[in-house]
Amino acid sequence: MSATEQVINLAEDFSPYPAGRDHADGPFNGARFRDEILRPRLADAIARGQTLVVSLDGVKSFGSSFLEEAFGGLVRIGVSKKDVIRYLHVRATGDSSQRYLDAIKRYVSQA
Amino acid sequence: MRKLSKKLRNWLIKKARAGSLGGRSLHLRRRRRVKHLVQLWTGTQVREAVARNDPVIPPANLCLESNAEETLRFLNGARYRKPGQFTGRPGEKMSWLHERQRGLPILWSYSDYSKIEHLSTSAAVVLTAEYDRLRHLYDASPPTVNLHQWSDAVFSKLYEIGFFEILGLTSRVADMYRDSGNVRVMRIMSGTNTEGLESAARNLLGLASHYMADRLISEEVILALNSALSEAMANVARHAYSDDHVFPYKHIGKWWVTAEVDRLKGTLTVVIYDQGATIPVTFPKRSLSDRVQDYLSRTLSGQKRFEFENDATYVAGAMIPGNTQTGLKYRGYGIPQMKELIDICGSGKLTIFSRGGRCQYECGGEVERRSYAKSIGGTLIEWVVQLPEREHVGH
Repeated sequence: MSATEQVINLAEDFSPYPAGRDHADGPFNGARFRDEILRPRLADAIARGQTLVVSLDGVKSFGSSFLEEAFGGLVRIGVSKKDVIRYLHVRATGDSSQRYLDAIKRYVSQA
Repeated sequence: MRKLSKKLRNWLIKKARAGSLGGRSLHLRRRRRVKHLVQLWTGTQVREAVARNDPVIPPANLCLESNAEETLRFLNGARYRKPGQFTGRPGEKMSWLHERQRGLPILWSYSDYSKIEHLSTSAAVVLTAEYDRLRHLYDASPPTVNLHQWSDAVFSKLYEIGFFEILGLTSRVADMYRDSGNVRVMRIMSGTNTEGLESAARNLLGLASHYMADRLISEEVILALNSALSEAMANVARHAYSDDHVFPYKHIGKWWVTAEVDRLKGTLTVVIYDQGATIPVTFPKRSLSDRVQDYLSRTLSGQKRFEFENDATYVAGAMIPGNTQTGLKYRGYGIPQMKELIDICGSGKLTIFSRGGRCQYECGGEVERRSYAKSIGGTLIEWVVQLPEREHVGH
């Protein structure tokens, strides 16, 4: 981790099997990840002028409702789309996760 | 009123005996009750009982793929089964069996599973779920009748998926898998939301990778499978058992998952079932073009109208990205993601049965749809994916 970025490892810091939109869907849902981890960490990164990296390595499921609620939902709850695009970087090293990176970008842009 | 002349009376009696009255029913005779002895398996012993009525006969081929209409009719009937009160005394507990002080206990009704020759995995899941529901609601599941007459294939299928464990007839074992020839089956799991995803996903991976060492289940397929399953579980938690829906029977708010691998065919089959409100109820939307298509196909085929005739169209509509009951543009990706798994695998098929609607998508093809007059009693999703051989990968 460089001094200009913070990192969230979704699998280790939250769950390797995140799923669902909110608490009604299950414990490791998108709204919980967004509200408890992603949003506060992003706000902190923005305040420090840093980039927040969310690593998807080690994650074993990428349900669309989780991804949409966690990332697209950031914009809906008031974080500016410009800030999300500028300060939030989602990364995955394996080829198999690439389609989910694209999906996250789509959810943010459509939010 | 027409006078009942001797001639008319004789005609009525004759027609009633023949069992028909020109489309009108006239039950002059009581239903014939045939008492007979049956054997009940309690898990530890076999005991006899007197069955008061003829059994319900299931179709010989209980399969949603090759004999959907008869299978749905039987499963639909089974759904309305419940234990009875035999004495009518106040406070009497409902039970499947009437224990008497003298003589053998009385069994009011049962289904004769010895008549089943083939039982598909999907039909077995629906059946097991139904027994699980009855056991939860009434503290006891329907008795297992004449087990010694069941075919080996039917007994094996139910044993493999854990039917008898759910009934409480056999003790729960640690082993998640059971082998039968070239097929290994994952014991049925159940849950109410996505909390069960991790254990289901781990068991699925164990099922496929240990049994089919010569087949490749890529990281991409694993991710897509887990993601599709997570969406199915989330849909159950969010939509299936909504308080807004009035259910014709009590539910227990669960999903059931099982899977099997066939080493000879190189296939992995995953089935998830719930007894919820169904897609046609929670997503009753049809586009204008679908309405026209439904009308034309019904008119051209001369098919009579029936209650669930549009259900397949509703299911097909839910498979289109962005279509959702909420009307919110950011929703409606769950079922399309279930379909995407088939495209990622490059072969295989997805079948969604919901109430009376059935849609099937084969990789690269169109969605085939068909509606049935009887409901599956919820939503059943089945993925069958072909796993490539290891030596062929990359060539």
